[in-house]
Amino acid sequence: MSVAEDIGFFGKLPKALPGLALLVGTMVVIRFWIEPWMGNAVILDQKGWLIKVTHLNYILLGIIMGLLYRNVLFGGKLPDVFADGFKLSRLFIKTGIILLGSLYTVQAIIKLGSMAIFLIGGFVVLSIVMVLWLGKLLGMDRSMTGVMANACSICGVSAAVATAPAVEAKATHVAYAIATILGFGILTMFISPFIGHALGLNDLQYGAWVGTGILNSGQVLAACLAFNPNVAPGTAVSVGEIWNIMRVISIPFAVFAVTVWYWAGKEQPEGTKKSLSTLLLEKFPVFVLGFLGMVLLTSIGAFGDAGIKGGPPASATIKMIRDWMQWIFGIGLVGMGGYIDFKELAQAGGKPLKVGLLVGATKYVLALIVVMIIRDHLVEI
Amino acid sequence: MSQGGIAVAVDGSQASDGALDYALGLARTEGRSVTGVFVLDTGWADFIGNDWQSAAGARQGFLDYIRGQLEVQAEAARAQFAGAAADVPNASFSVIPGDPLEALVSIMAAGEADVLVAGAQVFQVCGRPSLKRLARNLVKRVKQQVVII
Amino acid sequence: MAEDKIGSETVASAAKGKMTLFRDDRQEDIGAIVFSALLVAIIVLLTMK
Repeated sequence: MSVAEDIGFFGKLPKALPGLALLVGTMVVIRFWIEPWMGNAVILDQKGWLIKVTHLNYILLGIIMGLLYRNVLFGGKLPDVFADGFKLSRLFIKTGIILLGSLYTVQAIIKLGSMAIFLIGGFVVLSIVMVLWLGKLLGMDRSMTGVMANACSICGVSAAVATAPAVEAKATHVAYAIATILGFGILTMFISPFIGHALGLNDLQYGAWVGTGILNSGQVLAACLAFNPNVAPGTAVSVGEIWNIMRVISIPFAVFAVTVWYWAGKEQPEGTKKSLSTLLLEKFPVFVLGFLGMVLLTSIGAFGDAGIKGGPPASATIKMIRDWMQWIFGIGLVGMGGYIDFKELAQAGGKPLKVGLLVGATKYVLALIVVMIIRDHLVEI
Repeated sequence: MSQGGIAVAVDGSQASDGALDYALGLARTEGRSVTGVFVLDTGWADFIGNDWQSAAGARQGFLDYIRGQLEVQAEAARAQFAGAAADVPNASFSVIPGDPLEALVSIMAAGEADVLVAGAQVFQVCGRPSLKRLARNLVKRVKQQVVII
Repeated sequence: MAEDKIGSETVASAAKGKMTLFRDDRQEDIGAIVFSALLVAIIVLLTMK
């Protein structure tokens, strides 16, 4: 182990400052100058044409800046001076998700969660069946089919990386699966807000749709904020993120199921077998507990009124938490944009691409149709 | 033409058989030194960098798992090179961590060899999708002679 | 470079890919919880009447 790994988080923090400054600086420029300019600029005789037509907001602009940094300005690789700072983007997003807990009460979580389980559950079964069938049809190997089944049904890249070691997937196969899932996720992240606005979906319908239909749950958050950048109860992000969290916590169960399927009828090497409880301990994302803690604190009124629909307006504390959250998500998502590498996505191909596109597109369109059909039965919070 | 060393990219698979034959043939006939190079790809962490929600055992576990595969491949490359270069006097083998393209470009930029030989599909056996363009990019970026087999 | 013969030491000493400044992802999760608690505490202090 190198010395650099031993010095701990605070020891490494100074080296991360240039990258962090770039992330924060980018968001400051976008929110204080670029967004207001876009709102006022007169194009084609229309004030604010850029925002009305392109639906670009600070979230999408942040992601676009991040990916321009990497793919254009830095020539495909984050320079060492900024690399450590960009690694902090995940810390920001996780912190944002934890603070997002302030949008819900326990009752709202139960209502939304059960609706999410119903929709996600149905689509998980559909996607798994489709991947198994297509895998057989295209002669995809068993480990690849296992990885794609979880990646297409649960939550994309997170599920792919969690499943790959358990089913002995080859590095190069997983790489193609990841490139496909990520490419599809990024495409849907940019087109979903347009479709949502064009079809006149409200926040609840949109959140339920993208939460179910976007293959890689990493992009669900961005797609929701791109549709409506406001963070408050009942906005797209408050709905979509519940879907996301339900998907993330189901990863250990999905890995367990696929492992059992993969090794059925085969001799699994000693020492590689993992029980469900071991998988839960290993693969459970702990930040979700922070989110739940925040929901609990909000429910008992620790920060004053939460501003839930029909109730009294949000307290000053809750309002400030939500304002800060927008900044935290914005900064984190500039960093996430910096990890989108077009060199990799452009080379996606082979069987994973075929399966990923077929299953991804089916899921995306079908989820929209289902949400449109049950639009009047979705539960408001 | 100068009589400097030859660098040959070796990945332990059939994709480097031809390049290895060519590089060793050149070393034998011209008495040059030859170095086999395996690049241990460290780009995976960035490649899955967009995934922000995986848990400890999932993400780092995955990176360690991939690392294990790369180490096995590095050993295969070493054996492949050692087997083929047994009769070449100035033959050595290196494992270098880094991005395969950048690592090979910087070896050549440092003047450690005069010719770079690589298979058209080298490192694709355990690589990220962008390595499909590795050979093409080497030709573009390396100043010295590059032979793609 | 030419003298650098391969052995398991060379492979093992090659830099490992890391995605976080924390020791691992779980520490990052805990870091996010601590960071949120800190932010909430500051906000509560700022909005206290």
